[in-house]
Amino acid sequence: MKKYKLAYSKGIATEPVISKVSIETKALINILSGSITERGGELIVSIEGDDQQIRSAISSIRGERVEVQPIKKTLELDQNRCVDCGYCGTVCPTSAIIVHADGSIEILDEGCVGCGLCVTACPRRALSIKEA
Amino acid sequence: MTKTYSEINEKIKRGKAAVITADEMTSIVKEKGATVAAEEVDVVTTGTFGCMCSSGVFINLGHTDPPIKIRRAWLNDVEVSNPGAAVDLYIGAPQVSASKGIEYGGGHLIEDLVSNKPIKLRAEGSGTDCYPRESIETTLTLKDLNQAIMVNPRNGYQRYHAATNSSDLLLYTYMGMLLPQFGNVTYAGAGGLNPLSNDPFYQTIGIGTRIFLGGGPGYIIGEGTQHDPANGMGTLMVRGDLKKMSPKYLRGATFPRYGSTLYIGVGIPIPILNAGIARSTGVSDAEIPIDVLDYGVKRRDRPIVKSTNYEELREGTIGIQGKEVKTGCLSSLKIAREIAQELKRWIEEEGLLLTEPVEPLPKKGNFEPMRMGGTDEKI
Repeated sequence: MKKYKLAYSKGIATEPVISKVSIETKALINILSGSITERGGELIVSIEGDDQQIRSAISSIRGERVEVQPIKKTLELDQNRCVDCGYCGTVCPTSAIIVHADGSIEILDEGCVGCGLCVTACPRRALSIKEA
Repeated sequence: MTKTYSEINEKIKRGKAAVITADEMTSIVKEKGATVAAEEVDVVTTGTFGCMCSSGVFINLGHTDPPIKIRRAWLNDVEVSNPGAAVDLYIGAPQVSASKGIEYGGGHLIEDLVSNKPIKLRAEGSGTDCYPRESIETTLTLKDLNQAIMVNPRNGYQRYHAATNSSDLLLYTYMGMLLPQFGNVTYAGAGGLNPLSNDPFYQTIGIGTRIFLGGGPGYIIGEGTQHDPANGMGTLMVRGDLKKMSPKYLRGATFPRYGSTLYIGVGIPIPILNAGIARSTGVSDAEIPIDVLDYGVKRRDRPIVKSTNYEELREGTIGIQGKEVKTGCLSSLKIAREIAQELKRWIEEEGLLLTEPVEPLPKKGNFEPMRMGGTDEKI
């Protein structure tokens, strides 16, 4: 599963771009987070399908005048700083941080959208977003 | 059957004492009952590892020549207070750096000190006939200090309420970031492993009890501030030698837009003198009630949105007003368990003896709101 940031400008924000592209290319587009008003905005999506479907979905989205940028951010945990409280898991909007019973955590790379909420929340500054 | 402190200590000296952690005691009491548990077990060890803001360290710097009577001082740019004589200072865990703000506070400074890192001192003096020096700048480490004594006015809360947020705004609190519209629930404490929860009637814990504090030996010196046993929220005032502690159990912390604090490890050994104490140490997560309070209401007395317990909170989600809400602990259960294990090892392998308290903790506390007068009363 690959993740992308879609930037909508004013004018295009009211169009059903995702549905149109999904029907056309049969790629499954999952909206992970985002905010759009009539003035524009951005979405973080994952696109599922074979390579051909993903490529054509991206080019179709671009054809609708929406900018597409692949997300290469990964969340890193510094074990030396972590105290295994597990609190970061509660702020993650995509449930990409799995908290085990003892409080230790596991990061699901494919679920992380790189929003950074957990980075801000961590009292030990044990989490960071790295650009790949 | 009853046992005395000296009988248990004799067993410890002979390496024959049965020492187990509070986790294990919960299962034993459940399976065999308190009477059998009291016969089989001599000591139960407890532990907790969480943020405890009301903590700090008294240090004595030694005298310079010519000497200085410190009026204001900063260590790594964190202002420390001058509670007494010329070169005595107190590092409060929530103090913040003049340059880095809450990203580096007293808690981080204490962690750096105990890690033997060099610390920059900057101080201003009054300049008197007996203490003529007016300023000093130098670098020190923990080894250079005459004393570094941790004295924490309020540690080891018996339990603590959980927090959530009904409002439409993201809140930044000492209970962490609370997402809008009941987006999450945060809680703290070690539940069934918590020291005071294992002795809620203070039958063994009191002034003079020898404890695990920050990885070294420490003592309870009395009840803590805001000690509130009537509501199951007793607290402890503790003391220990920072020079004997470990950075593993003292970790600085920053809560965004709130402040700096310190994670501290505290563990208390509980002698199983009788079946009543065995029953108390058999406490489970499910038996410790916790109210979830709404921090969306910005008042002293926040409304309770749900009554729950540690067992339910540890499930990972909890239902609030028909919504499944993620729960997260701000304390580390994993390190709390390590502390209980380490304390058990101290007793079994290093022969740490138990102390009979000089005086029990008071069963009555005082936690009243501030008295306000005149026009200031309205918020």
